[in-house]
Amino acid sequence: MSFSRNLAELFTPLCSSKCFSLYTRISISMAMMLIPMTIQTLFKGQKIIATIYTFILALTLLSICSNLKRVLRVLTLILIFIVIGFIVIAISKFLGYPTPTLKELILSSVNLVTLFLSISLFFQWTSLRELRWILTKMGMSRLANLTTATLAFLPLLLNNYIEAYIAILMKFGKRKVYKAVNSLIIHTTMIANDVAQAIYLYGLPQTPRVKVERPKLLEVLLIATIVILAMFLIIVAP
Amino acid sequence: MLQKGYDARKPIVKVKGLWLRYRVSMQGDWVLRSLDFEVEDRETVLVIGASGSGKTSLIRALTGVAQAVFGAEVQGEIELCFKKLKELSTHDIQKCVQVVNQDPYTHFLEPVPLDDMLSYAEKFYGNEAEEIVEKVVKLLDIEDIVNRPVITLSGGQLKRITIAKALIPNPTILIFDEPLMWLDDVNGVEMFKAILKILNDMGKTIIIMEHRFLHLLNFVNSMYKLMQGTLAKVDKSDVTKLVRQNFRRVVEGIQALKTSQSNSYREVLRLDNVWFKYGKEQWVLRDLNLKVYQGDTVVIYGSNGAGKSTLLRIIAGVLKPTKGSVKRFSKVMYIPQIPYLFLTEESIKKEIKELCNNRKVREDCFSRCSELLNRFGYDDLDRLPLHLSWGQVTRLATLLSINTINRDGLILLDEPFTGSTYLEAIALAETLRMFTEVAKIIVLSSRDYISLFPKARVYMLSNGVLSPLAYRDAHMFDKAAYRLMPP
Repeated sequence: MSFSRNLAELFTPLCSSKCFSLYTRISISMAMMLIPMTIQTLFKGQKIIATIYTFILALTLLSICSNLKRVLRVLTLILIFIVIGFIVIAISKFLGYPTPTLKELILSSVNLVTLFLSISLFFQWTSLRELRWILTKMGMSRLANLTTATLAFLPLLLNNYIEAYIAILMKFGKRKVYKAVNSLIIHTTMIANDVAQAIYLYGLPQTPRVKVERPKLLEVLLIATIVILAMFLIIVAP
Repeated sequence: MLQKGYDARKPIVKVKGLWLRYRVSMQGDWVLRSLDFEVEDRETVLVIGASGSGKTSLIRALTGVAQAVFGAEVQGEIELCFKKLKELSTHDIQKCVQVVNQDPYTHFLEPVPLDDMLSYAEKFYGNEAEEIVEKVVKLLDIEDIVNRPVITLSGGQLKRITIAKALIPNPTILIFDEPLMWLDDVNGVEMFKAILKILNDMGKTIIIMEHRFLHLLNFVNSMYKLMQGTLAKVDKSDVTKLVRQNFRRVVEGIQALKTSQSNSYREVLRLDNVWFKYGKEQWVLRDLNLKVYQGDTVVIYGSNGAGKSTLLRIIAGVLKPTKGSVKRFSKVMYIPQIPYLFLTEESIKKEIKELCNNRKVREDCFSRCSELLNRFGYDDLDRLPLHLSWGQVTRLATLLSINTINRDGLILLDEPFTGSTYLEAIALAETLRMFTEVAKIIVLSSRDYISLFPKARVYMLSNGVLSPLAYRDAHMFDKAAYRLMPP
């Protein structure tokens, strides 16, 4: 439950109004997503300092907004995938297939984690209203509507899913815990009915009127510092 | 408390010869059968009826949801705000009628209620949306909770926000489907009464479907009973008399029962110095200590958001305490507040079979369970549980678990009387008490039901602290609280 709730809250806007202006929030989180992707694509297995810099920066920004302990706990999910990757590579090496070096592996994993943190930063910093506004401005109003309906219920579903898992674990024991899938299907069907009902009764939300303030000088400086420092480290540092 | 200056006016809701059945039962039963009724402008109407009697279906038919969303077959004539339903656009319906559903979690299309309300208000008021939302937020006194994500709010808190959202378009008619469900006595029920008074003063037409209707009798002009798909007008005084008689009979019956609190010293659960908080938030639970023995009944009473469901989740193992320890010494069954999460099979019969086979309990498990369910009106065991009402599913999950849990087991029930009529609740409580060897922890937000467990250990959860509540505790029976109790 804690894990599920933490995971759900990682994608729930928690303090969008308390943080920076919308432009700043989008710019920083986008930059934070692009930096690890650039390093991974163009400098695979290199740029240790730039990789560590973006990782620490992502953690720092998230800890300002959210609970760092919770963020780290949720990282266990992504660590599972990383461990699976390591195992697959170990088996490949054992079978004599070409494999990346240990340095490459570690740096790729850190980049992956940074990317995950940056995506979660984007969702925590951008409310659904703002996201919808952005998509509508980009001429994707239909996608904006679909995103609204889906994302609004995602945290709620994640929250309920673990509850169903525990209820069924206690009902049938470990051997038949897979039956939780059935109750989840039943529950999701009901939620789908309710969503349809809510959309019918309230209609899909209108294109929101979002207050877009110009970023303050300090915010511009912050964005510039983050990007310039990252570029400097990518170009100059090893 | 009734509508000021209420007298006979033009009917604002007019239903003539209404029939309704769902696609799944096209070959079979009509849920609503030739309903005729009218609601006058500014009238407050209460509709009562057993769970599964068709109250929610009636609301769906009135708003057009039954046809548009559920694909139900609807016959007959419906007029809302002096126009035929078929002639009203969705926008007209929204301006005319607003529904506050049973499950408040599904009212919001955005994760933060305030954002959702602003989006909704913008549709009607444009640039003035913020002002309107601020007004309804203040009116319902929800400033401190409206800006929190939906998943962090309790069912009761969310219900208040849902009512605020319904008020945004300033509708002529408001329909409440079990408005008191999950609401606690003081903040919830009293709050709803205050809202009813405000709505009455605003001249709204109100239709309420409610099981715990005794709290609302002073606020309604007329009352209907929905039974087997038909609607009949009921005299308010008759209802009060009837319920009072039934309550007296049942309470006397309960007190005559010789079931006593367990004398067993076999411990089934122990909570030692349990503290809990979500992330950086305040402590939800503070230094909780509790021992439960075989056959014990423990009732935990508290207001909305007090942390009752959190406590049950900690006991069930869904959540881990931040500090302290939870030890379970026997099998535990957990019925969540959303009872549908407990069910896994495509029919009631299969649910019983799976549970009986899995738990390897007594040989007559299936027949005993079927018989028990039969007594509670579950005569069609091939029915898909999905098609049962909320109250029916809550009782079904409770009955299935109590019947199949080991004798020395522990059952955790989160608001087991949700969606039940008074008499259904009494019957369920009587059944729970029959299983004397099974320990039960029951979480309640309404005092109405505490009296159903006269031998239980009752605790109050308030400010994160669990304190014993003497049955004749002055706090429970002070004048203000006493007025809340049913006659």
